[in-house]
Amino acid sequence: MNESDAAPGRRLEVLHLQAGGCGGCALEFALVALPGLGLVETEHPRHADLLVVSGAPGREMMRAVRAAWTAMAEPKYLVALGDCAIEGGRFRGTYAVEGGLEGRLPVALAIPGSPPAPDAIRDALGALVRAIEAGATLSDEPFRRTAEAEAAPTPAPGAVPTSAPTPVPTPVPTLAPLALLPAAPRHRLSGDGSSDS
Amino acid sequence: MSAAPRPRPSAATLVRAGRPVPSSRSGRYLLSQDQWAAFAERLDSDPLHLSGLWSDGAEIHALLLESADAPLIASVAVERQRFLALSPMRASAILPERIVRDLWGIEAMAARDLRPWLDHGAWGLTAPLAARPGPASWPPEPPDFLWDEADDAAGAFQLPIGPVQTLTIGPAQFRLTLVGERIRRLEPLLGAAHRGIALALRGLQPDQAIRLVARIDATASVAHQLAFARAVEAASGVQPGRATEALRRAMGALERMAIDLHHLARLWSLRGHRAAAARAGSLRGMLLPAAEAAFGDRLMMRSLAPGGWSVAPDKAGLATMAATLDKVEAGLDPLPDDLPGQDRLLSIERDLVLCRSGCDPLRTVPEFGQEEERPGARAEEHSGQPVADQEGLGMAEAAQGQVWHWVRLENGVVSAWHAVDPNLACVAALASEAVGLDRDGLALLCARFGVSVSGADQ
Repeated sequence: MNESDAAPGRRLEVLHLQAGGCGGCALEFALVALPGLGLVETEHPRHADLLVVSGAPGREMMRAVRAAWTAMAEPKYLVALGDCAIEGGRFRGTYAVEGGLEGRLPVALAIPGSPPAPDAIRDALGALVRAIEAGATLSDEPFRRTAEAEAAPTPAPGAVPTSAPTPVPTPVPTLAPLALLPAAPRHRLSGDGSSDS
Repeated sequence: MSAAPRPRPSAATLVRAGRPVPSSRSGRYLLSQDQWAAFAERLDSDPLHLSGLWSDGAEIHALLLESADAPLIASVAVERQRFLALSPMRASAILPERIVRDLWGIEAMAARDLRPWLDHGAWGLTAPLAARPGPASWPPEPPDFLWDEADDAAGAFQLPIGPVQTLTIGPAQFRLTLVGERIRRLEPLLGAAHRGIALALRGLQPDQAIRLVARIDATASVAHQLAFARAVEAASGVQPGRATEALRRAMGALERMAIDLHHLARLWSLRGHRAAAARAGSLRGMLLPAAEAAFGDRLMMRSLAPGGWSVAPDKAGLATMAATLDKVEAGLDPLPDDLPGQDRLLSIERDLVLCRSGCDPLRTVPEFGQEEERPGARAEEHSGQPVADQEGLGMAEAAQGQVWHWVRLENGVVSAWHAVDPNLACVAALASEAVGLDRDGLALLCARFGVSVSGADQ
């Protein structure tokens, strides 16, 4: 996308970072028409307002995600796209993947699914954009996963899938303003990148 | 006048001089150290294609292709954690040798390059697949990129790209050595998307393992599942029915079409063909719901199983497939001929035909529908005679090329496994093709290649 797509006025810029995993979430994300949501894609963390992370970030990649997040100017919002980005998914607990973003970085919006369908991604991002534009009351409530995400099975560390696959729920997370967690200004990153709230 | 020298035996002949491995149903030969050395030397002038190289800890295996569907595996025992490298003769062995060293701690003697590839010091251990993994040093050493005096003389400088700005191929690092804005050398460095799948698969039953195999690479999920299923079937001597085979081929074609459209959309959008890119995206948007209706989910990650299905295809969904394919075909028609990516368009047209015929088993395969009614049949075959040690090799076509899976089953569970993914070779090719381009040219090249880091890293 380039700037000529943008309507007058500033659009929120999105940096999509595929942090690992199988790439399924990135495939579905590619089907989401960002301009229709008032978003425009960027390649540079310093330009980005939203950081969308998909895939299970490996132990090494987590450092890159933190670096990108730290480089972004405030206000900034972190979106975990898919189960792998949220908590590591099927790869959680291997020697290469510790877990997801949950509990490590202040996630504003978690979109569960493996992978979530484009409609679910579109609705969730749309809700986030509307909340940001409306100046949602940003609070320092701890990161909350949506009810749908809670219902999904969470593998224990080191667990391997043992049963037939569960059908993917493609729920639309209900985004309460409370679920929005800005990094600014209280959520400074400490030395190891974790939120020191 | 002396007699003409006797022609040297071909590399394939040298491999077949080794001892056939009885448990392998895939034509595997165990070579002695001398035989391996002769084979390695012969590779320098023999056209035999080296497709993959991996280890199971005790032996090194090389997958060789006499033709696209005539595989041959040469193996040699690992002695003192070493084996004789093939990379001096074949550049395609360089990355696999680096991976074998990272995962097993087994070094290729006389290798052209043994710098870390997957292991960047973040795992907390080294040689994770070995029986006794080693300790990791902390802090990790920064990666070592090439720089020589000629670069100095040319006034070159280096520019790192990634893993955040990755030209949208996924989490990869590129180190560009540039003169002005032209690329003098491109060194890719992967490993950020490595998930340790080979270790996670150990000890799993094939039916469980295939669910993880489906997550190796979303752009080749069906291909990986199929290749794995075929490898397991080869190992255990199970033959899927004709209807199953026809439908599986259709699934493969459906996936390749969707992925080709995805890559075309990216390529066209980079080249400024907005309307065509949007059309490619919307055509893929039509295929995925059809896949969901017929095979359970949009990326078809859940329905395949070795020997048959974990979830049988939906007949109503299959019945609507033809209409969807017609719409996609009609949607491809008005595209101008001068767009880049014509090769992908051609393969989409071919896959349309394959998918249409494969999804119509009601007409082509009379017994369709009968095999799903006895799902327990295969389980009985398995439980009847658990054989100690079996190996198999399987192949499937992905949008990027051939995917090969090699698997060893012991007492019904996976004990050793390797997948040869075409994306690793694509990454190596990217490095050589990028020379002389500028950064925008590199972005286009990445889009044209459609490399998936997930498949290369595993």
